[in-house]
Amino acid sequence: MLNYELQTENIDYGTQKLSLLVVGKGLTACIVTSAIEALGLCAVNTDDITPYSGLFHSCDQASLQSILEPLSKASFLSRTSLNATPLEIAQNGHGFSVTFDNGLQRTFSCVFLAVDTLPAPLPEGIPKEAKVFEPEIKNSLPGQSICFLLDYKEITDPAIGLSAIRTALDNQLAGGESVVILQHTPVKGFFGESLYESARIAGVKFIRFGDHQPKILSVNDSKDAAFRFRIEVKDIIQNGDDIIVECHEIFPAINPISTNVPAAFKKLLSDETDTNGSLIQDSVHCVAGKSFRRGVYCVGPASGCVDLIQTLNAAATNAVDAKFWVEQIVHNMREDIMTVSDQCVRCLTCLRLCPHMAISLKAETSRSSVIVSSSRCLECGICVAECPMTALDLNAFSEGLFIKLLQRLQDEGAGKHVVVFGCYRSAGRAMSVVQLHEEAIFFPVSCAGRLSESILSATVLACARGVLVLGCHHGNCRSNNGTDWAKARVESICGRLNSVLSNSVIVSYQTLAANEPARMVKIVNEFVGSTKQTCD
Amino acid sequence: MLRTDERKIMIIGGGIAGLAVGKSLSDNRIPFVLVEKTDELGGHSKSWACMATEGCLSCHGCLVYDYDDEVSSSQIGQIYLGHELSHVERSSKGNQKVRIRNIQNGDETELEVYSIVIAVGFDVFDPKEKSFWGYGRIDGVMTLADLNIIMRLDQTEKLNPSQKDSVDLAFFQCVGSRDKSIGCNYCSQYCCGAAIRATLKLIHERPEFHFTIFYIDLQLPGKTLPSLMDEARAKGVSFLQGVPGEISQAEDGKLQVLLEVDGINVAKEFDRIILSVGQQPPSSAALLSHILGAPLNEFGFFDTGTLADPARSAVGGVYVVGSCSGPATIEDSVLSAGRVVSAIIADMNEAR
Repeated sequence: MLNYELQTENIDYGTQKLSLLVVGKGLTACIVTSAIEALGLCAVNTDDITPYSGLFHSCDQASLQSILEPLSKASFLSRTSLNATPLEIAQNGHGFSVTFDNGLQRTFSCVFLAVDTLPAPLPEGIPKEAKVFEPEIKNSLPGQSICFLLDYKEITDPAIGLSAIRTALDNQLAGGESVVILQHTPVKGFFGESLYESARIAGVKFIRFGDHQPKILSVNDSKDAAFRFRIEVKDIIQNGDDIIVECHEIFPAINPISTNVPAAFKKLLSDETDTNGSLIQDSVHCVAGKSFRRGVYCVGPASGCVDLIQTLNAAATNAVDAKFWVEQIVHNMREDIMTVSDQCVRCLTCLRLCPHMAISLKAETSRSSVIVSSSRCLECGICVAECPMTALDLNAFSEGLFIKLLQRLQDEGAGKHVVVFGCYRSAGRAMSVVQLHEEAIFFPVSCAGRLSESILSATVLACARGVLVLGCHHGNCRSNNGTDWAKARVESICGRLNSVLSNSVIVSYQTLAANEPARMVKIVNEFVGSTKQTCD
Repeated sequence: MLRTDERKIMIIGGGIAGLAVGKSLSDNRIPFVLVEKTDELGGHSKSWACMATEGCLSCHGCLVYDYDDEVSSSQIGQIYLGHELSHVERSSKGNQKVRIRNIQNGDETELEVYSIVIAVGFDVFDPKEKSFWGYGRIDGVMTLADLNIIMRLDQTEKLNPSQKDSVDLAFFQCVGSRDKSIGCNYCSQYCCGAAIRATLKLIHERPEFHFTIFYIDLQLPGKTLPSLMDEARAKGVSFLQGVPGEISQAEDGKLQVLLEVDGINVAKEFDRIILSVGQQPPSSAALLSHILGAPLNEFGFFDTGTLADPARSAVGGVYVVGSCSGPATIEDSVLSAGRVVSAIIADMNEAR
């Protein structure tokens, strides 16, 4: 529960431990630094920053200029940086302790990864003389032609595609000739239709290909060849006619790939990459580049985003989230969420498993202790369930509540009920609009990750006819992998029970979301039915 | 000079964008008043079905429940359901006096707020406006919204009432989007992703379903959609360029469309056709624009000037968030909420 009484007006955000570390030197770092400072927070940069980056795309030249202008001012850029590369980022109480390559060690409240990456390499099949499209290309000379190639082997992100069409238009207006070869005309909200129209009117040539990928050849048979490239393409608008385009330059517009990310971050965020290898997972809980490790953010190309507007939004969103963190650190605003008993032997299983970096070790000569940061903890209970000494407990979802449930089961007699454990944010919310089977007892937990093997087997022993665990869908768990932990534990118990009890009790695991109340009823009914069959 | 706790932010609209703003304000301990015209928070996202197959497909639909919980339980937020903004008395300094009206009984409540966030979302295009799609006239033609209701109720068997071994379904993309004839020559942003996710979900549940997606141009922004499209292709979904102009009913009851293949017209039949209906400006936009003085753009959405600052309207102290300033996905709306709260905090700091 948050304490709202505290006033934040007198916080000195400039103190060292409250400052936010921004890693990077290009436009992303400029955007993030400015977003942090707009909120009155204090940013510390690893490097001197300059707003140039050829990686960013925008469908609107005017907005690009108005964004770059304040970021190019000397008053903004003349800041002292640490001039150091982070080597190790470790969690330290409420903040992060960062060790740099020059030996410096400092504490920060939050860490923003805002590194710009290298452009993606040319895809296979494109001659090495070609260059990957960057928004700031020089216009061609009058009479020279430039080809912009979109959707080659992979659909180009609309932001990059629009940026290429805008550049093609600029080039045409500057006296060059532009050809755009694409499979899908990019549009983004209101942008696209009118740009496409203006480009066509200005004389930009558009060729649309279908299932046949265009073939790009380098023309180097003659030293003074007028054109450097020849492209063979089937134009589906022209009834699939084979067309040959000759041009002086060709720029394939390629989606970003993740490279050049500092090693310390790769280590810190080792399991948090998306399907393309960029940082931060695709999870709905990582919107805008928020890591599961609370207080760590990733914005811009390293997170796979080269859309300028999107990056500005992500930087602002994360800065607002970071302000919330900083204030929590100042006031330690949350009540204690967990207790650590003196059974703890500091094996640090909890520290290793916590998805939110909420646990740290306070090292002392006599007796070190495990510290739980209540502002970081999301009560997933993965650590509670896995603690080999059962030294940990959640205050709001304590062991005592489970014991009461077991007592009730025993009082009511063998085989009367099935127990449905469900994560409160999925099954718990679906429950609010449905009526479950009368033989089912629903028991909400903070996360399926809390359900230890001992709780599950104790429920079976307490005469439940069956135990059903409803976790969130894989990839939707607020604690990253709490639901996967639950699945593994259920499988482990089933394996053991089947060998001893010959299938007389069923333990099962299913996944669910808050907006699936009808499916929840079906799953529970089917489960209740299946336990009856087994009993009969 | 007002203290932080005396400066309340009014949010008009309790859909995903308004809720995301409320959650973020609550986190940052800035008091807010949320005014929603219907009797429930959540907006369009609340009617959305879960698209998860083996795992979550990141449609972001369930986030609305997380935000609803946080906003509803916030100690510093007031929520007025069934209310709308009726009057604003603007003041260049300090708080503005506003009145909100109870839609049921007309009672008015006066409030003092520091600034106002417009989060009124979008209206869904009504495909009856174009009779050749046969919506409401031909059995088996439905919208993406109708499909979501069926999926939410877990009644996908209704899409195959005669329990056939193989069912052919088609998605028509850009219905009410990218259409100059109705003033909607823009992209509705969410529909390519929504159609691809829905095909994956339905194939996962009902392997007898076969899908064709008719599109104008596929728009796959962001990190997840390109790989989802590859997955859909691998599962047999066919993507065909060009949306057929007309749907008719064949004698056997099937839905028939004409396609041009190599210059020859070929008839193709489907059991169901789902129209991916676009986003339109909200019906309340004109009146709100009048009350607040915030201008609308040529399409009827709230104008936010350049792309560089999409959070502030042309009027000081009035912010715009989510799809009422242009078509948006749930993810876009959540991101724009962060941008708006950042602008609100920055403006408050400046005024101090």
